Amino acid sequence: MNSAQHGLAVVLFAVIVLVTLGITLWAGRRGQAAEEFYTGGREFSPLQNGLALSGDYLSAASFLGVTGLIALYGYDGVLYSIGFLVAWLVVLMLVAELVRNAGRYTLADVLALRMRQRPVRAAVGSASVVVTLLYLVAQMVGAGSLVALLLGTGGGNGSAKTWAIVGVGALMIVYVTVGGMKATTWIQIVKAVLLVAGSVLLTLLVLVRFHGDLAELMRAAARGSGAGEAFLQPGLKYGTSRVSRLDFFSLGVALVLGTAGLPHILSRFYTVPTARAARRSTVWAIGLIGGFYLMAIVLGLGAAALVGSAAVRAANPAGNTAVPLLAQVLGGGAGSTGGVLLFALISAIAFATILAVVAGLTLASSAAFAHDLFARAWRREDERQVTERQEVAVARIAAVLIGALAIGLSLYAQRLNVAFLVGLAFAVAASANLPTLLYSLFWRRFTTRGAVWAVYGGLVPAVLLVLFSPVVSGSPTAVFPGLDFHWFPLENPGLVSIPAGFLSGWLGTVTSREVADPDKYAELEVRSLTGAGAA
Amino acid sequence: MAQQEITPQQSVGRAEVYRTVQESEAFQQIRRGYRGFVFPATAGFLGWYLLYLVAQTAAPGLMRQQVAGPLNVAWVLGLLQFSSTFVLTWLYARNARTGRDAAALELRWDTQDQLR
Repeated sequence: MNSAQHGLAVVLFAVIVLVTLGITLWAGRRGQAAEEFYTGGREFSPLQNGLALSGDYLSAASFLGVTGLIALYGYDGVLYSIGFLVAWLVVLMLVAELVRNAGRYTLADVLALRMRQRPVRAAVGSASVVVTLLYLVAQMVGAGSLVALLLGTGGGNGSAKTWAIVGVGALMIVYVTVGGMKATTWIQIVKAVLLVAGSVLLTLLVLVRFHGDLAELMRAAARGSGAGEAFLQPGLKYGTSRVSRLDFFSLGVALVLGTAGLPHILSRFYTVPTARAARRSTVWAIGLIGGFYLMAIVLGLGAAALVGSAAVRAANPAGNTAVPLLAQVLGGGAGSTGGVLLFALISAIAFATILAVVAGLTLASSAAFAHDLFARAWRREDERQVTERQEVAVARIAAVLIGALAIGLSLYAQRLNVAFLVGLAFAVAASANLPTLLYSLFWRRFTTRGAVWAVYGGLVPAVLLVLFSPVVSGSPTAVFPGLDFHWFPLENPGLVSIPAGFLSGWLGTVTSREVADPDKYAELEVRSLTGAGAA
Repeated sequence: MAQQEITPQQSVGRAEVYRTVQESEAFQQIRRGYRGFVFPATAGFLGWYLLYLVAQTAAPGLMRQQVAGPLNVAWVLGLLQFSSTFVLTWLYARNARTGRDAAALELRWDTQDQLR
């Protein structure tokens, strides 16, 4: 690593910070209404929202992590990425349009249409805050190491990581409190365009290098990996033992079902004017995300072939720098002008990716807190209602507090192994949010008790099982490697907690004394499928 | 939210409107069109994805079978997951556009007129 490329990376990082702050100030001049803060005015086009959706979804863990996995483990990395894509069919078919039609700002809005508002909002609001906070800490701890790594201040230097976490956290708080959904969406759009452009450029360079011969690329990658034929076969990462295979299955199920329960993805559908626009933005997102993962295969194989898996692993054991290292080689190697330029450019795109994703998460979390918990769940019917102005003020304060909490947790967790957190966030979303949402939309007899039970019946097992799993204690890579109180064998709880969520929702419904109100179900069904009365 | 300001009489009228619309043939047709596509399709793609996951561990020998050049069965199935996702997305969008968009929009204005 030389100082020229890191110097250039610093300059590009600064440009990205300035541009995003400019967008934030521009968006912040607009009105202060709740509609503006939570949805950006509902006037984004399908393409814009499709870009923003893919921007929210393709985190640094995808851009750098998935390509790194493919560079290190070949086919098993590809296998991992497929769950993230197939998940979007659930979003497209069962969730996007109906949620857009039936809700206003949050996931709980959809449920409040036919359930008793306070208990349901308390449950779904809390689950949403938990999911976004888990996801946020995962992203920020990763951001700390990545920024330090990309700026070349990594290694044993702890203070660079600390400053990176604090800096990223402070920026995301400013984006959300000042610019609301409008700024967050535009930052996502800018980031998604940069990400797609950077990936297309690198993919083309790899293809040119191999004269468009994909078979030769695969063979060269197998040679460069040091694993030979096994690199192109299943089992290099997932499948060393029966438990690890079951674990991968559990993760795969959580990925596919979790996406449709992620609050920061669901809130994106409120930024477009109609359900039809929500559907078209999802179609754009699927095209962009699918295209990206296809390019990630080429980039991962390219890194294995041209950089070599050993060199990728030496730079970062998780493979997170595979793409920047590949960019360096494609530009002409370390020290060459082209190499310096491409390395800095790709690092800057990764940085923009980090900033955009954490902003989206903070916004969704503060919306669930202010709109669902503070303004509704925590207020009795006979109490004075919170005004819209107050609610937005609380949402802004919540963004600051949640941001500060995430910074604090990330600083504490930065020396711990928190790679499991993203999988856990998906598992909670799939176990708590998705069963409630699907039952509510499609099951006539579903009751308030069923809704509340489904949320807690999914949330509590997911968190408890992870607490007693090998990721927290009892293994060398655990959060607390020195302790051992684990008894649950799997690292991802989805295989147990997702059925638990669906089962408790059913159980709560059949045991409740109240009968579901057919009028309210009629209203939800008509509104969700036709858009009558939609915000 | 808007419905909190509504008086009991209005809310009875409102419930009646939604019940009538729900029972109307026009709405039932939209509902059938939607569920008739989405439920089997979801069962299909979820089953196909789970099958793909299980095959990695249940049939490792089959997965390693070479198909063409460096491509083995595992890669072919993986790339087919990509293709089936794209194809289903396109089919769903087409089904919604031609099958229910116009009817849903008409029913939306109709319902909102009755609620006024």
